[in-house]
Amino acid sequence: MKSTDDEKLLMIYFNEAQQKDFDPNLSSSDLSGQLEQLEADMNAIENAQNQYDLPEDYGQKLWSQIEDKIVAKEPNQPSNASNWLQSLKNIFLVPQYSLASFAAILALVLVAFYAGRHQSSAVMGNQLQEMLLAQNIQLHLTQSEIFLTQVSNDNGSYNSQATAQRLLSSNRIFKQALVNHDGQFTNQLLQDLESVLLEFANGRSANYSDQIHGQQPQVNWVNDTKSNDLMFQIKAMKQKLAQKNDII
Amino acid sequence: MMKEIDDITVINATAGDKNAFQLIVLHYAQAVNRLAYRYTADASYAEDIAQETFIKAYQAIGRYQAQAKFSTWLLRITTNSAIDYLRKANRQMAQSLDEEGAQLEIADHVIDTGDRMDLNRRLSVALSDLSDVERLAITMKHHQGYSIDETAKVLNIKNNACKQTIFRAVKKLRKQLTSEVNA
Repeated sequence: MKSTDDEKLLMIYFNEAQQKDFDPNLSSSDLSGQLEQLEADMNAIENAQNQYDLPEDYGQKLWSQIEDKIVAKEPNQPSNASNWLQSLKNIFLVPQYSLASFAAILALVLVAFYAGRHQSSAVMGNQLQEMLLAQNIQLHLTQSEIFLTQVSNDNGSYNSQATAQRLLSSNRIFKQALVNHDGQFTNQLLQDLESVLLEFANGRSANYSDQIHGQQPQVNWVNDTKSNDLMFQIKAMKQKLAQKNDII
Repeated sequence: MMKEIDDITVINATAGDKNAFQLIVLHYAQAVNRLAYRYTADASYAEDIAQETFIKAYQAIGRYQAQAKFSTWLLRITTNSAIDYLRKANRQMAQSLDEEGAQLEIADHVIDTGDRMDLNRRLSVALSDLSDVERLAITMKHHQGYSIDETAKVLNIKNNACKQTIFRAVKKLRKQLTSEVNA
């Protein structure tokens, strides 16, 4: 047989033959015989290479030779995080551990989700509650400020009693709501405001301006004796609440 | 077929456990050395390549991905180490690989059949008489199961040159078998 045929035969043996290699010449009856002979020869070559003997303890000998070099050359591990991920990935790829690992990870995720949801909902709930309360108190203070401005400038025509009663109710509700929050200064202001609103709610309407601006709170949270009237306190508190958006 | 080491040992080794890596060395040392010997037909070269292979494997084991068999990954390192080693050894290899489509003469050197060497011995000598690139190509294709494309790529030669190289190697080796029959 020509060498080109031998080459094609070898490619057929190695499973690398293309369709054009299966020409009529190679389809002859002795093709299988040639392939068998080639296989026998290749097996003989394989056996010849297997004659190479190594001592039983070769592995131990090799380890003792490379151990010091290995210590000197620590593994090139990109980073702890990526190595950890790679190890985790490898664990998942081991068939007998993949299912158990998957179940364990799933359980961890569910527990984390449940705990996280509860924790975040509690934290978020408190924050949101305080934020809403601060905004409502701001609104209440604005209304109170308008009310006090009106009554201080009024010559007796403004019906202040109904508004004062409504504001007094709101004021008490907010005071009650502040019990659960650390709002010492806000609570003090509402306390001061309540006493003023209470008088208007009870029908007292004479000499409003003197009454309001002459109000002297027992505790002045700004600790400024020149600016301690109620109107100033309301304005200052509104600003603080707007800036921080939580109860102070 | 080579028996694979257990997966837990591999996982521990990838996590940097040196004792686990020692178990890997003990398990695969012979297989790595034998493959290195196939590539080089030289016991001292095989010894050096085996050491180099495990040192490289230890350094790269953090990047091992369990989709492939560990032995496949390790023996690929062995193949690359053998090629590097032979290149460095400055044997015919470098020239053979750099000459595109190089047509090496098929040695007519036929081992004397009258010297009472047995077939295996004569084949071993014939294997050591192959050029490095021929031995690498035939071992990668026949023993390691690389495709022609992969073999050509690793050896940095064209596909046709790779086929020719393998063909020449087989022809030289079969010549020893033929002379045994004729003797």
